[in-house]
Amino acid sequence: MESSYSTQKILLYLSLFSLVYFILIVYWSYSPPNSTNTIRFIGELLTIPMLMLIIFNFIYALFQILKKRKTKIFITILALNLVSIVFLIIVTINQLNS
Amino acid sequence: MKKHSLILIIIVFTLLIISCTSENEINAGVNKPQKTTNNLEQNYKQLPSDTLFFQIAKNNYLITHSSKLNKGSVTSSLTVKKYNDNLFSISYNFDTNKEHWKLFQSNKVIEKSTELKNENISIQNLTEVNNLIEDYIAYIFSEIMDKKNKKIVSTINYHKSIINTTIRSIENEDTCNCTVHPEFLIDKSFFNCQEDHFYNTSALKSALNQYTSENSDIDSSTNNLITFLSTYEEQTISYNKYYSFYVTNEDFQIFINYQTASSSGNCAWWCPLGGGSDHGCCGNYSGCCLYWHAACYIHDKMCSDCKPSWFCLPGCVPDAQQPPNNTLTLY
Repeated sequence: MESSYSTQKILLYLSLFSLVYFILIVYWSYSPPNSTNTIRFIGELLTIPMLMLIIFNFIYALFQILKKRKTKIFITILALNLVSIVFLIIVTINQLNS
Repeated sequence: MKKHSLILIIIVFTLLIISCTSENEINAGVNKPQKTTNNLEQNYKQLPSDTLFFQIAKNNYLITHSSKLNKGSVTSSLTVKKYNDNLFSISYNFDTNKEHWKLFQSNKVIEKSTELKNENISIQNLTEVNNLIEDYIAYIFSEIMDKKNKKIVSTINYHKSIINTTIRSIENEDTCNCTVHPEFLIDKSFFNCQEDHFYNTSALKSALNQYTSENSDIDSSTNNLITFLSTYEEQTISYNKYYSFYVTNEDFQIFINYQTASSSGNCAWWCPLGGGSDHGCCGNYSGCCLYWHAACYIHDKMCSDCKPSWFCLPGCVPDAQQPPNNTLTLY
């Protein structure tokens, strides 16, 4: 299961993009903008695929680290996705309890 | 001698002017503002009955209100200037041809209040503007009520409610909340938020005492209210609290959601992809759905109660719930 360098780079950028995406939608949930139409359209379409993506990236990076393949880049991917997952869990608990 | 009579004439003349002014104010029967009177009288007499324009200029504020009715559709705006600088402006439109149009107004007021809150205007300015409108509203109503269309006059209340809701939200450090007043729904009053209406506790107690003395058969809700009031010590009680003894806030909200959802769903029966607010349609808008996707369908199904809000995104509207079997009675 050897992945090419370009695939690893794509995974890294996707992890970074999903983290920024989730930070943005969490920010908008606390201070909603005046017009929500565009956010709702893109958000409804992207949120679930993005969640699946971070879970996939996390598991894939973990698997690659355990196999000791290109550890440095996969640790970065794992860390980014772990931050995303922990961040979303905390926000979910906070919003469900409020 | 001549000098003394001149002083005497001046004193008598001054007293006469003062007494005449006081008499006029009493005869007017309302708190008649001094600065705007001329403007107001000139403007409302010049404009037709389906158009309203007035300005209040006081304490460095210039509040301009205008509204127009066109075939049941009302457009209005309120602009506030302080020291000639624009402080804020609110535009408010509603269409009385739309089915259940009254039920949509509280959400619109909340939306406009949120916009106003996001402009970060100081609570002091908002309170001063609100107080100015409060000072003049009785006089304005008394002057225009029989000359203007009621829908046009009612626009003042929407703007007042938006400002009040924003003030409440800032004071309570909470989101903007406004529950439509039942009296507005049954045409007994113009639009008001329940949260802005307060009863004097002693007046309410005496009214209930009179009611119990005249009626032997008292319902359980009224009995509960009387029991609650016997230990209630505040001078005023919010309408919200009072009304919750008859219809709980939750049931009232369910009723409103059900009515608005059922009325908006009917218009999309002919759309190939359903309505813009249906499950599966990406986004949430009125009219026909423009883009349907399975990801949006799963997302909409998971967000039937809009929780958690980060996942359900801003502008989420919970699915309408059926009102409980014990049918809701509006008082």
